[in-house]
Amino acid sequence: MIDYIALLFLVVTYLSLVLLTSFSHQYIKFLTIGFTLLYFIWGLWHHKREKSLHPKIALEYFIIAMLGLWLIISIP
Amino acid sequence: MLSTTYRLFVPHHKNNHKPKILHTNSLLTLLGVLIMAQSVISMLSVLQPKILGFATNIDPEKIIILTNNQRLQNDQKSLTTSNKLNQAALAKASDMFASNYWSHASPSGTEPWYFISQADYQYKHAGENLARDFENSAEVVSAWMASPTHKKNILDSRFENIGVAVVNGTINGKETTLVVQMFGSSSSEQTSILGSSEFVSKAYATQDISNNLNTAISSFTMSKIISLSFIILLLVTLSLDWFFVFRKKLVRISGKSWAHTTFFIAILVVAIIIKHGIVL
Repeated sequence: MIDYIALLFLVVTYLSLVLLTSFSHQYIKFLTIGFTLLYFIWGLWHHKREKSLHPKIALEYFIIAMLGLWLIISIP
Repeated sequence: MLSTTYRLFVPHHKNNHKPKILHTNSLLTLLGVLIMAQSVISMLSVLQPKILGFATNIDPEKIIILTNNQRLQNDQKSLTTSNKLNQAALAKASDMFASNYWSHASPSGTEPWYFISQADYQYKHAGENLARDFENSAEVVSAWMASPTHKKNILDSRFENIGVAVVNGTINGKETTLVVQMFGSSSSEQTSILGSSEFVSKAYATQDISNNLNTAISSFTMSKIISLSFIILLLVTLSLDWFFVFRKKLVRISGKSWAHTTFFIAILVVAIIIKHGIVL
């Protein structure tokens, strides 16, 4: 249960901070780097807790995080 | 065709119970395609600025018209264009590019009023609004009106004259379009390009000018469209995967689709609200 709350908290915090930056590009990019990194860590933590952590899963979270990061930082 | 689509988006035995798009190889391919697409956009914006670029449809006269529209809507007299303030605004914009700064005061401490005085405008009251990276005149004025301090300048009853400069250049290595708007009131000011009655009628008649401009698509808009397309593709696939995994009660070695979906919803929200221009 705590995993779900942690992810929800992470998403809400990220979106709130983005709103607080007045949509400044530079801040949003920094926030997105932090958000994607924490999401990757969250994925590892969640699967470790469920005892289902596997290198394939870690790689999947890493690629998903990279995709999310690139989708935002590539907007000039 | 249907079978391929099914294999791409729906988990079943032919794709090892995971949509093909969500396989590691496919995700890496998507990342590669995304990086390549954005690189092409960046190159095009530099090599072919007429196709994609930082060049915008911001026009000083339209900024003035739209500013006066706002004043008229708020029961303020429209401002007359001052060549001296236009010169001051141009000098300020040129100085920002030359000294590489984005601020009301230069790194050496030069205030906006210096440029106004240098243009031989003897001011009683003066004000300055700045904007950068917008795509058209309406966006600039809307952003200023959304900011209390800039709005105060636009609607200030003490101001009688206005000057605007729009200049393209590079600040901190980034190609950008700067908009400098200067306001002033002076008893000695005589220069106005248009008479005020002419300005009033023109201002009303051209409310939507900026919306009808035939613009080349900017690199910002193009990148945003590509990013949104990728996010929506991933969200659709993840949602379908989530639904079928839940319905079929599949057990597999994989990340959680609901978590990825939540992650990309946050990314989608940010990609939608991210704005290009900033005001100061």
